[in-house]
Amino acid sequence: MKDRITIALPKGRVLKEAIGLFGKAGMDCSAILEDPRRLITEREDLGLRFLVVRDQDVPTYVEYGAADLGVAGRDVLLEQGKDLYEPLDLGIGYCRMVVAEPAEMVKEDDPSQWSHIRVATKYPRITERYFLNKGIQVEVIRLYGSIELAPLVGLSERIVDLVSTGETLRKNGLVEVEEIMEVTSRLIANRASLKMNYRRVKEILEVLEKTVKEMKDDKALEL
Amino acid sequence: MEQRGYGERGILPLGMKDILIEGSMGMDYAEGVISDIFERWGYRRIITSLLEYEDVLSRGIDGELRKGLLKFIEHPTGRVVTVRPDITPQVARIVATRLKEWPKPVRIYYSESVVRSIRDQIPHLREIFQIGAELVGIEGPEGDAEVVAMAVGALTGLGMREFHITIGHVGFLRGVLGGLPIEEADKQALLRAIRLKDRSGIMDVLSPLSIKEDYRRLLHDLPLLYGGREVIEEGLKAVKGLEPAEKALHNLREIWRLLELYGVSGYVTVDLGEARGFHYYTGMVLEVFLKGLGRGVGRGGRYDGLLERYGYDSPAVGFAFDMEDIVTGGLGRRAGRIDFLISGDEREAIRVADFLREMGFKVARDLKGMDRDERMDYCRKNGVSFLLDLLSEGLVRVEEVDTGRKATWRVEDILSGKVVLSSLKRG
Repeated sequence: MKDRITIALPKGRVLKEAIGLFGKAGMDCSAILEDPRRLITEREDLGLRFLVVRDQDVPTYVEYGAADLGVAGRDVLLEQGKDLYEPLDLGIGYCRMVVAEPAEMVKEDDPSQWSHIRVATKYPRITERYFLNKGIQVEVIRLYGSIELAPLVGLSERIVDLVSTGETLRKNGLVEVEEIMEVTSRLIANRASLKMNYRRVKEILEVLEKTVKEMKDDKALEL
Repeated sequence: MEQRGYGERGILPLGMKDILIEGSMGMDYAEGVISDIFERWGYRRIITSLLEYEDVLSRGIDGELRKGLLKFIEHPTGRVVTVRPDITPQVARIVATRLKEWPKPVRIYYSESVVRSIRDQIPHLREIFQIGAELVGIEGPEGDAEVVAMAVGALTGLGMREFHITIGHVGFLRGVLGGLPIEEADKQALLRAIRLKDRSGIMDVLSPLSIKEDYRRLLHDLPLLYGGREVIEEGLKAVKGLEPAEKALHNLREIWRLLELYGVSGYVTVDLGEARGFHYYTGMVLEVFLKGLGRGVGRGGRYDGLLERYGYDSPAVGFAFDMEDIVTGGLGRRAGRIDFLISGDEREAIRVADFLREMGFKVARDLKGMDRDERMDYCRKNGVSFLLDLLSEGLVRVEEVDTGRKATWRVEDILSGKVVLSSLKRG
């Protein structure tokens, strides 16, 4: 009997894309969408079990081996710096992490003159590292949501946040001034599982990699 | 009365801990079994110094370890003293200075704690209890195979079956990267991607570089070069002509052959793309994984250059287990039970307890006349198997704590050996 492999998927915007990708790769888990309150979905016939957890908790489940594999954004992985393998860029959940500030501030603002700045973000470690790398002292204000609000009420001058269409920024009168990085979701793996279940994990990796490539090619054709 | 707590200031320094009874008994059990196995392989124990001069220790450690030392100043001399972060460099120092003339190989083991900094949200120190063995003076694969086989022996000796030891070879990666015309910054980025087994990341670094296609292929596939014995052959095909990497693989192949002779290769996997481990490793490296525990519970490898840093050139190889992980990951509640809690008339209780102890049982006496609830609570918390209740007229009631099964015997039958107590003891 094969050992069951547990895969942690992130709640939220990437979930549907991830389910689609696993489905195309022959690991259908669309049952997850039937009941949004269900946290565990079994596919005993495939030897798989899917967990749906908060996106920021996925690396933790995988690091401790509660899940063998997981899907996590590059933003979350870099912020948390956990001891994991990140074998595959799944190419889903694309967005960008940017520095933004109010539109009226942009007019007289010169990023090269920044010295001590206040930045609100959900990503304190990435933010701090990014600005320290540029030699800029930064006071990071860690928020858990609605980051765009911070500059509007004077909590901070700038924010670091994810944007996909830029719509939220625009609505709140904010303008992107610098891009920190592009973000996509990655397949992550527990170190022990990858080695102890190497045959199965390798199989899953290979079929996912193939599927990701096909999807990329399809997209290229559409364009 | 106002309670005097320690609140947010904490009661122990960050990362330090007391290990309570259950954990300690488990550690003690595991230490007993493992050191017994080590001794059966001809290894003998040493105890190393808790403190080291930083400048002396620093010869033996690099990178990460050196950053996370617990240090203070030694008053009479003004020298910086540190708590040992790793035992292997101490063993290297001891053999290189004190056991130089000793016949080789030197086989030693230790069971001690180290204090080192760990990677976490907030980096802090942690005390880690290690039991490990070092084989000094054997250069060839026989040495590597012996320590891997002994590590397997220690784990099976503890009754474990579901574990893996991964072996790799630092010479392989060094060999592969050594031939690459690439700048230091790119090399670091590449190493990071290899560490994460991040194939996309590897391609990001390589795509702007002009390197041969088969080389690019090899680096891209590096994260997948793990698995059984076949991986060594795959690797050999992939690095054909790249001599240092080939040499590393021939070495691994020979180690694998010996592991088959030892009959332990079923527990071993190969990972050629593993880029973790201390800087002092020079050859085979190993890491131990238990089923159900997400991180490695032991690690080691060959460190042929380390003794030379203390003035005596000798090859060496060794490994250590993290004791707490071994206990939490593999033992459960097996260790440290008490056989009997005995209550009743003091003269009689002392007599019976003495007799049972003489027979090798673990016996605790009820010194304060506990009522039933207190006794059951005591038994559950301390892992007592049986209650012995001395009644009047030379009778004793025996009760098995877990099942509630009861029997009444005559005390004289116990003392004369008529009642076979060992049949009570769970095997």
